[in-house]
Amino acid sequence: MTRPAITTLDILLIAIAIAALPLAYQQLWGPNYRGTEVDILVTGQENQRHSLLRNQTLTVNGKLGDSVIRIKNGKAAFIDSPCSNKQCIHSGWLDRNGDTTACLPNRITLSVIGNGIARYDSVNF
Amino acid sequence: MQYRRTSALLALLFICILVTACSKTQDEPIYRNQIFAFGTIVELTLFNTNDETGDRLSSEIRLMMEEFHHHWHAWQNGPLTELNNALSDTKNKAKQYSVSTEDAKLINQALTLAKASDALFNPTLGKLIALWGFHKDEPNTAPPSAQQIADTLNSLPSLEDISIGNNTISNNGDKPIHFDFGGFAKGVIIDRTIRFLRQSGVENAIVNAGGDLRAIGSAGNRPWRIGIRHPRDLGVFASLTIDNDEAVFTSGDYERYFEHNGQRYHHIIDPRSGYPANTIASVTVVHNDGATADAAATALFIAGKQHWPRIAKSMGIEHVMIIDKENKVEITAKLAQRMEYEVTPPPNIEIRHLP
Repeated sequence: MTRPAITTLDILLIAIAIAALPLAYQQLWGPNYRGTEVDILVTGQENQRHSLLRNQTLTVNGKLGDSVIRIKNGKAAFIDSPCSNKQCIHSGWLDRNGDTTACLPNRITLSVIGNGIARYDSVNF
Repeated sequence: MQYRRTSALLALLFICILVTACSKTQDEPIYRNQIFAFGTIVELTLFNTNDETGDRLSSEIRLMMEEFHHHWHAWQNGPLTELNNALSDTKNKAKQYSVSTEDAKLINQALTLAKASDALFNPTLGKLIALWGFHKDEPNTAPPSAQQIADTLNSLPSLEDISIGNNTISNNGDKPIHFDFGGFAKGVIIDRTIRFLRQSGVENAIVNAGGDLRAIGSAGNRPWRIGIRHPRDLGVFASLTIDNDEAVFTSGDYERYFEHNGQRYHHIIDPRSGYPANTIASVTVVHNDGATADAAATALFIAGKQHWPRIAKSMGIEHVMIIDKENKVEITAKLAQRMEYEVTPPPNIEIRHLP
Protein backbone atom coordinates (compact mmCIF):
# COMPACT_ATOMS: atom_id res chain seq x y z
CA MET A 1 0.00 0.00 0.00
CA THR A 2 1.41 3.38 -1.04
CA ARG A 3 1.13 6.47 1.16
CA PRO A 4 -0.50 9.57 -0.43
CA ALA A 5 2.00 12.23 -1.61
CA ILE A 6 0.45 14.88 0.61
CA THR A 7 -1.46 13.88 3.69
CA THR A 8 -4.32 15.77 5.35
CA LEU A 9 -1.87 16.77 8.05
CA ASP A 10 0.48 18.27 5.44
CA ILE A 11 -2.36 20.31 3.96
CA LEU A 12 -3.35 21.52 7.43
CA LEU A 13 0.25 22.49 8.16
CA ILE A 14 0.59 24.40 4.89
CA ALA A 15 -2.77 26.14 5.49
CA ILE A 16 -1.68 27.25 8.95
CA ALA A 17 1.66 28.47 7.61
CA ILE A 18 -0.03 30.46 4.81
CA ALA A 19 -2.57 31.88 7.27
CA ALA A 20 0.28 32.98 9.52
CA LEU A 21 2.09 34.79 6.70
CA PRO A 22 0.34 38.16 7.17
CA LEU A 23 1.23 38.12 10.87
CA ALA A 24 4.85 37.24 10.08
CA TYR A 25 4.92 39.99 7.46
CA GLN A 26 3.57 42.54 9.93
CA GLN A 27 6.07 41.50 12.59
CA LEU A 28 9.08 41.54 10.31
CA TRP A 29 8.26 44.26 7.81
CA GLY A 30 5.69 46.36 9.59
CA PRO A 31 6.56 49.25 11.87
CA ASN A 32 7.36 48.46 15.49
CA TYR A 33 5.90 51.24 17.60
CA ARG A 34 6.17 49.62 21.02
CA GLY A 35 8.56 51.21 23.47
CA THR A 36 11.05 49.21 25.48
CA GLU A 37 12.58 51.81 27.80
CA VAL A 38 11.79 55.19 29.28
CA ASP A 39 14.15 58.16 29.49
CA ILE A 40 13.69 60.59 32.36
CA LEU A 41 15.34 63.95 31.83
CA VAL A 42 15.71 66.42 34.67
CA THR A 43 17.24 69.76 33.82
CA GLY A 44 20.88 69.92 34.81
CA GLN A 45 21.11 66.19 35.56
CA GLU A 46 22.17 63.07 33.71
CA ASN A 47 19.41 61.18 31.89
CA GLN A 48 17.92 58.22 33.73
CA ARG A 49 16.95 55.24 31.58
CA HIS A 50 14.69 52.47 32.88
CA SER A 51 13.26 49.35 31.29
CA LEU A 52 9.49 49.37 30.74
CA LEU A 53 9.48 45.68 31.62
CA ARG A 54 10.37 46.25 35.26
CA ASN A 55 7.46 47.57 37.31
CA GLN A 56 8.62 50.27 39.71
CA THR A 57 7.77 53.67 41.15
CA LEU A 58 10.41 56.39 40.95
CA THR A 59 10.64 59.65 42.86
CA VAL A 60 12.46 62.29 40.83
CA ASN A 61 13.50 65.60 42.30
CA GLY A 62 12.94 68.60 40.01
CA LYS A 63 12.93 72.38 40.24
CA LEU A 64 9.77 72.59 42.38
CA GLY A 65 10.06 69.33 44.29
CA ASP A 66 9.41 65.63 43.84
CA SER A 67 7.57 64.14 40.86
CA VAL A 68 6.47 60.52 41.07
CA ILE A 69 6.75 58.38 37.93
CA ARG A 70 5.35 54.87 37.74
CA ILE A 71 6.41 52.14 35.32
CA LYS A 72 3.88 49.35 35.04
CA ASN A 73 3.18 46.63 32.48
CA GLY A 74 5.23 48.23 29.73
CA LYS A 75 3.90 51.76 30.28
CA ALA A 76 5.08 54.83 32.16
CA ALA A 77 3.24 57.84 33.60
CA PHE A 78 3.48 60.77 35.94
CA ILE A 79 1.53 59.84 39.07
CA ASP A 80 2.21 62.95 41.12
CA SER A 81 3.95 66.26 40.59
CA PRO A 82 4.17 69.57 42.46
CA CYS A 83 2.93 71.68 39.51
CA SER A 84 -0.42 73.43 39.77
CA ASN A 85 -2.39 72.28 36.72
CA LYS A 86 -1.13 68.65 36.63
CA GLN A 87 -0.98 68.49 32.83
CA CYS A 88 1.81 65.93 33.10
CA ILE A 89 -0.50 63.61 35.03
CA HIS A 90 -3.38 64.22 32.62
CA SER A 91 -1.13 63.00 29.79
CA GLY A 92 -1.72 59.48 31.09
CA TRP A 93 0.25 56.34 30.27
CA LEU A 94 2.92 56.34 27.58
CA ASP A 95 3.94 53.12 25.84
CA ARG A 96 4.78 53.83 22.19
CA ASN A 97 8.21 54.61 20.88
CA GLY A 98 8.43 58.41 20.69
CA ASP A 99 5.70 59.17 23.24
CA THR A 100 6.77 62.13 25.35
CA THR A 101 5.27 64.20 28.13
CA ALA A 102 6.68 66.67 30.58
CA CYS A 103 6.15 68.52 33.79
CA LEU A 104 7.47 71.86 32.55
CA PRO A 105 7.21 73.72 35.87
CA ASN A 106 9.23 70.95 37.54
CA ARG A 107 11.56 70.65 34.51
CA ILE A 108 11.14 66.89 34.06
CA THR A 109 10.42 65.05 30.81
CA LEU A 110 9.41 61.47 30.23
CA SER A 111 10.14 59.89 26.83
CA VAL A 112 9.50 56.35 25.66
CA ILE A 113 12.11 54.86 23.37
CA GLY A 114 12.21 51.58 21.50
CA ASN A 115 14.07 49.56 18.93
CA GLY A 116 11.69 50.22 16.10
CA ILE A 117 10.83 53.30 14.10
CA ALA A 118 8.37 55.66 15.77
CA ARG A 119 5.16 56.38 13.90
CA TYR A 120 5.92 60.12 14.15
CA ASP A 121 9.29 61.80 14.02
CA SER A 122 7.92 64.62 16.15
CA VAL A 123 4.59 65.64 17.65
CA ASN A 124 3.11 69.10 17.30
CA PHE A 125 0.82 70.48 20.02
CA MET B 1 4.51 11.40 -5.53
CA GLN B 2 7.35 11.89 -3.10
CA TYR B 3 8.72 14.52 -5.52
CA ARG B 4 5.44 16.53 -5.45
CA ARG B 5 5.36 16.49 -1.67
CA THR B 6 8.94 17.71 -1.43
CA SER B 7 8.21 20.45 -3.98
CA ALA B 8 5.24 21.72 -1.94
CA LEU B 9 7.27 21.88 1.25
CA LEU B 10 10.16 23.58 -0.54
CA ALA B 11 7.77 26.16 -1.99
CA LEU B 12 6.46 26.89 1.51
CA LEU B 13 9.99 27.20 2.84
CA PHE B 14 10.85 29.58 -0.01
CA ILE B 15 7.90 31.85 0.86
CA CYS B 16 9.02 31.90 4.50
CA ILE B 17 12.56 32.83 3.48
CA LEU B 18 11.22 35.61 1.25
CA VAL B 19 9.26 37.05 4.15
CA THR B 20 12.04 36.86 6.72
CA ALA B 21 15.30 37.25 4.83
CA CYS B 22 15.15 40.96 4.09
CA SER B 23 13.22 42.27 7.06
CA LYS B 24 13.75 45.98 7.50
CA THR B 25 16.59 47.49 9.41
CA GLN B 26 15.23 48.69 12.76
CA ASP B 27 17.63 51.51 13.49
CA GLU B 28 17.85 54.77 11.58
CA PRO B 29 20.89 57.04 11.98
CA ILE B 30 18.92 59.71 13.82
CA TYR B 31 20.29 61.74 16.71
CA ARG B 32 17.66 62.81 19.24
CA ASN B 33 18.11 65.02 22.25
CA GLN B 34 15.97 67.08 24.57
CA ILE B 35 17.18 70.24 26.22
CA PHE B 36 15.53 72.73 28.51
CA ALA B 37 15.82 76.14 26.94
CA PHE B 38 13.63 79.14 26.21
CA GLY B 39 11.45 78.21 29.17
CA THR B 40 10.37 74.97 27.52
CA ILE B 41 11.58 71.60 26.29
CA VAL B 42 13.35 71.70 22.97
CA GLU B 43 13.61 68.43 21.07
CA LEU B 44 16.30 68.15 18.42
CA THR B 45 16.06 65.44 15.78
CA LEU B 46 19.03 65.35 13.45
CA PHE B 47 19.38 62.84 10.63
CA ASN B 48 22.76 61.25 9.99
CA THR B 49 24.46 63.12 12.82
CA ASN B 50 26.72 61.32 15.27
CA ASP B 51 26.39 61.71 19.03
CA GLU B 52 29.48 63.86 19.42
CA THR B 53 28.35 66.39 16.82
CA GLY B 54 24.77 66.25 18.08
CA ASP B 55 25.81 66.95 21.66
CA ARG B 56 28.01 69.85 20.61
CA LEU B 57 25.21 71.38 18.50
CA SER B 58 22.73 70.84 21.36
CA SER B 59 24.95 72.79 23.76
CA GLU B 60 25.39 75.65 21.32
CA ILE B 61 21.66 75.76 20.56
CA ARG B 62 20.82 75.79 24.27
CA LEU B 63 23.13 78.77 24.84
CA MET B 64 21.71 80.58 21.82
CA MET B 65 18.14 80.00 22.99
CA GLU B 66 18.90 81.07 26.55
CA GLU B 67 20.47 84.28 25.32
CA PHE B 68 17.49 84.96 23.06
CA HIS B 69 15.10 84.18 25.92
CA HIS B 70 16.85 86.66 28.20
CA HIS B 71 17.03 89.29 25.45
CA TRP B 72 13.32 89.16 24.64
CA HIS B 73 11.90 88.34 28.08
CA ALA B 74 9.15 90.85 28.79
CA TRP B 75 9.21 90.45 32.56
CA GLN B 76 12.80 89.85 33.64
CA ASN B 77 15.25 92.74 33.53
CA GLY B 78 16.97 92.82 30.16
CA PRO B 79 16.98 94.60 26.80
CA LEU B 80 13.21 94.26 26.21
CA THR B 81 12.25 95.60 29.65
CA GLU B 82 14.58 98.56 29.00
CA LEU B 83 12.79 99.20 25.72
CA ASN B 84 9.38 98.87 27.40
CA ASN B 85 10.41 101.24 30.20
CA ALA B 86 11.60 103.84 27.71
CA LEU B 87 8.41 103.62 25.62
CA SER B 88 6.25 103.90 28.73
CA ASP B 89 8.08 106.70 30.53
CA THR B 90 5.63 109.57 30.81
CA LYS B 91 8.47 111.96 31.73
CA ASN B 92 10.21 111.15 28.46
CA LYS B 93 8.16 113.15 25.95
CA ALA B 94 9.97 111.70 22.96
CA LYS B 95 9.44 108.12 24.20
CA GLN B 96 12.02 106.72 21.83
CA TYR B 97 14.59 103.97 22.12
CA SER B 98 17.33 102.85 19.78
CA VAL B 99 17.86 99.15 19.17
CA SER B 100 20.14 97.04 17.01
CA THR B 101 19.33 96.51 13.35
CA GLU B 102 18.47 92.87 14.07
CA ASP B 103 16.11 93.82 16.92
CA ALA B 104 14.45 96.52 14.83
CA LYS B 105 13.89 93.96 12.08
CA LEU B 106 12.26 91.53 14.50
CA ILE B 107 9.98 94.21 15.98
CA ASN B 108 9.06 95.41 12.51
CA GLN B 109 8.19 91.85 11.43
CA ALA B 110 5.98 91.44 14.51
CA LEU B 111 4.17 94.72 13.84
CA THR B 112 3.68 93.85 10.16
CA LEU B 113 2.14 90.49 11.08
CA ALA B 114 0.01 92.18 13.73
CA LYS B 115 -1.43 94.63 11.22
CA ALA B 116 -2.06 91.83 8.70
CA SER B 117 -3.99 89.96 11.41
CA ASP B 118 -6.30 92.88 12.24
CA ALA B 119 -4.34 93.09 15.53
CA LEU B 120 -5.60 89.66 16.65
CA PHE B 121 -1.96 88.72 16.99
CA ASN B 122 -0.77 91.73 18.95
CA PRO B 123 2.68 92.09 20.56
CA THR B 124 1.57 95.04 22.70
CA LEU B 125 -0.73 93.03 24.97
CA GLY B 126 1.90 92.54 27.67
CA LYS B 127 -0.18 94.11 30.44
CA LEU B 128 -3.28 92.09 29.53
CA ILE B 129 -1.34 88.79 29.49
CA ALA B 130 0.19 89.71 32.85
CA LEU B 131 -3.25 90.54 34.29
CA TRP B 132 -4.25 86.94 33.62
CA GLY B 133 -0.96 85.64 35.00
CA PHE B 134 0.03 83.79 31.83
CA HIS B 135 3.45 85.43 31.79
CA LYS B 136 4.55 83.19 34.69
CA ASP B 137 5.47 79.50 34.87
CA GLU B 138 2.50 78.95 37.17
CA PRO B 139 -0.58 80.91 36.04
CA ASN B 140 -3.14 82.53 38.36
CA THR B 141 -5.84 80.43 39.98
CA ALA B 142 -8.74 82.85 39.39
CA PRO B 143 -9.65 85.22 36.54
CA PRO B 144 -9.31 89.00 36.99
CA SER B 145 -12.45 91.05 37.59
CA ALA B 146 -14.41 92.52 34.69
CA GLN B 147 -13.41 96.00 35.87
CA GLN B 148 -9.71 95.09 35.89
CA ILE B 149 -10.02 93.73 32.36
CA ALA B 150 -11.86 96.85 31.13
CA ASP B 151 -9.27 99.14 32.73
CA THR B 152 -6.40 97.19 31.19
CA LEU B 153 -7.99 97.19 27.73
CA ASN B 154 -8.38 100.97 27.98
CA SER B 155 -4.72 101.34 28.87
CA LEU B 156 -3.42 99.43 25.83
CA PRO B 157 -1.83 101.34 22.93
CA SER B 158 -2.86 101.23 19.29
CA LEU B 159 -0.48 99.65 16.79
CA GLU B 160 -0.63 102.96 14.94
CA ASP B 161 1.07 104.64 17.90
CA ILE B 162 4.31 102.78 17.15
CA SER B 163 6.79 103.77 14.48
CA ILE B 164 10.24 102.49 13.53
CA GLY B 165 12.86 104.53 11.73
CA ASN B 166 16.65 104.26 11.68
CA ASN B 167 16.51 101.47 14.26
CA THR B 168 14.65 103.77 16.66
CA ILE B 169 11.33 102.63 18.12
CA SER B 170 8.95 105.49 18.92
CA ASN B 171 5.77 105.65 20.93
CA ASN B 172 3.76 108.44 19.32
CA GLY B 173 0.72 107.96 21.53
CA ASP B 174 -0.03 108.79 25.15
CA LYS B 175 -0.38 105.23 26.45
CA PRO B 176 2.48 103.09 27.72
CA ILE B 177 3.74 100.32 25.44
CA HIS B 178 4.59 96.99 26.95
CA PHE B 179 5.82 94.66 24.25
CA ASP B 180 5.46 90.93 24.87
CA PHE B 181 6.54 88.81 21.91
CA GLY B 182 5.32 85.57 23.47
CA GLY B 183 3.04 84.73 20.52
CA PHE B 184 5.86 85.07 18.03
CA ALA B 185 9.28 84.65 19.66
CA LYS B 186 9.17 80.87 19.63
CA GLY B 187 8.81 80.95 15.86
CA VAL B 188 11.70 83.37 15.56
CA ILE B 189 14.07 81.28 17.67
CA ILE B 190 13.10 78.09 15.84
CA ASP B 191 13.87 79.82 12.54
CA ARG B 192 17.23 80.99 13.90
CA THR B 193 18.03 77.50 15.16
CA ILE B 194 17.30 76.04 11.73
CA ARG B 195 19.56 78.68 10.18
CA PHE B 196 22.29 77.76 12.68
CA LEU B 197 21.94 74.06 11.91
CA ARG B 198 22.23 74.70 8.18
CA GLN B 199 25.32 76.82 8.75
CA SER B 200 26.70 73.89 10.75
CA GLY B 201 26.18 71.53 7.84
CA VAL B 202 22.94 69.88 9.03
CA GLU B 203 20.39 69.75 6.21
CA ASN B 204 17.92 67.22 7.65
CA ALA B 205 16.50 68.11 11.04
CA ILE B 206 13.50 68.87 13.20
CA VAL B 207 13.54 71.54 15.90
CA ASN B 208 10.54 71.18 18.21
CA ALA B 209 10.24 73.79 20.95
CA GLY B 210 7.41 73.05 23.34
CA GLY B 211 5.31 71.41 20.64
CA ASP B 212 5.85 73.88 17.81
CA LEU B 213 8.36 72.89 15.20
CA ARG B 214 10.10 73.39 11.91
CA ALA B 215 11.49 70.51 9.88
CA ILE B 216 13.97 70.61 7.00
CA GLY B 217 15.06 67.94 4.57
CA SER B 218 14.02 64.36 5.27
CA ALA B 219 14.85 61.25 7.25
CA GLY B 220 16.96 59.72 4.51
CA ASN B 221 14.75 58.07 1.91
CA ARG B 222 11.48 59.01 3.60
CA PRO B 223 9.95 62.36 4.55
CA TRP B 224 9.63 63.50 8.17
CA ARG B 225 6.22 62.59 9.59
CA ILE B 226 4.66 64.95 12.11
CA GLY B 227 1.80 64.00 14.44
CA ILE B 228 -0.67 66.68 15.52
CA ARG B 229 -1.97 66.19 19.01
CA HIS B 230 -5.65 65.58 19.72
CA PRO B 231 -6.97 68.68 21.49
CA ARG B 232 -9.39 66.73 23.66
CA ASP B 233 -7.82 63.32 24.06
CA LEU B 234 -4.51 61.60 24.60
CA GLY B 235 -2.57 60.80 21.48
CA VAL B 236 -2.45 62.08 17.95
CA PHE B 237 -5.41 63.44 15.96
CA ALA B 238 -3.84 63.71 12.51
CA SER B 239 -0.48 63.61 10.81
CA LEU B 240 1.27 64.90 7.73
CA THR B 241 4.63 64.57 6.03
CA ILE B 242 6.93 67.54 5.62
CA ASP B 243 7.58 68.92 2.17
CA ASN B 244 11.30 69.79 2.42
CA ASP B 245 11.13 72.83 4.73
CA GLU B 246 8.03 73.68 6.74
CA ALA B 247 7.03 74.91 10.17
CA VAL B 248 4.03 73.37 11.94
CA PHE B 249 2.53 75.49 14.70
CA THR B 250 -0.57 74.81 16.75
CA SER B 251 -2.41 77.03 19.19
CA GLY B 252 -4.81 75.18 21.46
CA ASP B 253 -6.91 75.85 24.52
CA TYR B 254 -5.31 72.86 26.28
CA GLU B 255 -1.75 74.17 26.40
CA ARG B 256 -1.73 76.56 29.35
CA TYR B 257 -4.81 77.11 31.43
CA PHE B 258 -6.32 77.14 34.87
CA GLU B 259 -9.75 76.14 36.06
CA HIS B 260 -11.89 78.24 38.35
CA ASN B 261 -15.38 77.28 39.53
CA GLY B 262 -15.52 74.55 36.90
CA GLN B 263 -14.61 76.82 34.01
CA ARG B 264 -11.38 76.61 32.03
CA TYR B 265 -9.46 79.81 31.29
CA HIS B 266 -6.69 79.30 28.73
CA HIS B 267 -3.80 81.52 27.69
CA ILE B 268 -4.91 82.79 24.26
CA ILE B 269 -6.49 86.11 25.14
CA ASP B 270 -8.73 87.94 22.66
CA PRO B 271 -7.54 91.56 22.61
CA ARG B 272 -11.07 92.72 21.70
CA SER B 273 -12.78 91.28 24.76
CA GLY B 274 -9.90 90.81 27.18
CA TYR B 275 -11.03 87.20 27.81
CA PRO B 276 -9.73 83.88 26.43
CA ALA B 277 -10.94 83.28 22.86
CA ASN B 278 -13.57 80.62 23.05
CA THR B 279 -14.97 79.25 19.79
CA ILE B 280 -12.54 76.48 18.82
CA ALA B 281 -10.19 73.95 20.41
CA SER B 282 -7.08 74.26 18.24
CA VAL B 283 -5.60 75.77 15.11
CA THR B 284 -2.72 74.25 13.17
CA VAL B 285 -0.80 76.33 10.66
CA VAL B 286 1.81 75.03 8.21
CA HIS B 287 4.10 77.62 6.63
CA ASN B 288 7.71 77.85 5.58
CA ASP B 289 8.49 80.60 8.11
CA GLY B 290 8.22 79.71 11.79
CA ALA B 291 7.66 83.27 13.02
CA THR B 292 4.77 83.79 10.59
CA ALA B 293 3.25 80.41 11.48
CA ASP B 294 3.50 81.26 15.19
CA ALA B 295 1.77 84.62 14.88
CA ALA B 296 -0.85 83.19 12.51
CA ALA B 297 -1.75 80.29 14.81
CA THR B 298 -2.52 82.78 17.59
CA ALA B 299 -4.42 85.16 15.31
CA LEU B 300 -6.54 82.43 13.67
CA PHE B 301 -7.42 80.90 17.03
CA ILE B 302 -8.74 84.28 18.18
CA ALA B 303 -10.47 84.95 14.84
CA GLY B 304 -12.53 81.81 15.43
CA LYS B 305 -14.78 79.85 13.10
CA GLN B 306 -16.38 82.83 11.42
CA HIS B 307 -13.38 84.94 10.50
CA TRP B 308 -10.33 82.67 10.26
CA PRO B 309 -10.33 82.31 6.43
CA ARG B 310 -10.23 86.09 6.00
CA ILE B 311 -7.37 86.52 8.47
CA ALA B 312 -5.46 83.57 6.95
CA LYS B 313 -5.73 85.16 3.52
CA SER B 314 -4.58 88.49 4.87
CA MET B 315 -1.53 86.89 6.56
CA GLY B 316 -0.59 84.84 3.49
CA ILE B 317 -1.37 81.47 5.10
CA GLU B 318 -2.68 78.68 2.85
CA HIS B 319 -2.36 75.59 5.08
CA VAL B 320 -4.73 75.73 8.07
CA MET B 321 -6.62 73.13 10.10
CA ILE B 322 -9.15 74.12 12.74
CA ILE B 323 -10.53 71.60 15.24
CA ASP B 324 -13.64 72.84 16.97
CA LYS B 325 -14.91 71.84 20.38
CA GLU B 326 -16.91 68.94 18.91
CA ASN B 327 -13.80 67.63 17.08
CA LYS B 328 -15.14 68.78 13.73
CA VAL B 329 -12.43 69.79 11.29
CA GLU B 330 -12.35 72.86 9.08
CA ILE B 331 -9.40 72.78 6.73
CA THR B 332 -8.06 74.55 3.66
CA ALA B 333 -8.07 72.56 0.43
CA LYS B 334 -4.27 72.58 0.16
CA LEU B 335 -3.76 71.10 3.61
CA ALA B 336 -6.67 68.66 3.23
CA GLN B 337 -4.78 66.91 0.42
CA ARG B 338 -1.91 66.12 2.79
CA MET B 339 -3.59 65.43 6.12
CA GLU B 340 -4.05 61.87 7.39
CA TYR B 341 -6.46 61.42 10.28
CA GLU B 342 -5.31 59.09 13.03
CA VAL B 343 -8.59 58.86 14.95
CA THR B 344 -11.36 56.31 14.60
CA PRO B 345 -13.96 57.07 13.34
CA PRO B 346 -12.49 59.80 11.13
CA PRO B 347 -13.73 63.31 11.97
CA ASN B 348 -16.33 65.33 10.11
CA ILE B 349 -14.41 67.51 7.71
CA GLU B 350 -15.39 70.73 5.98
CA ILE B 351 -13.14 72.26 3.33
CA ARG B 352 -13.04 76.02 3.76
CA HIS B 353 -11.96 78.24 0.90
CA LEU B 354 -10.02 81.41 1.51
CA PRO B 355 -11.59 84.60 0.11
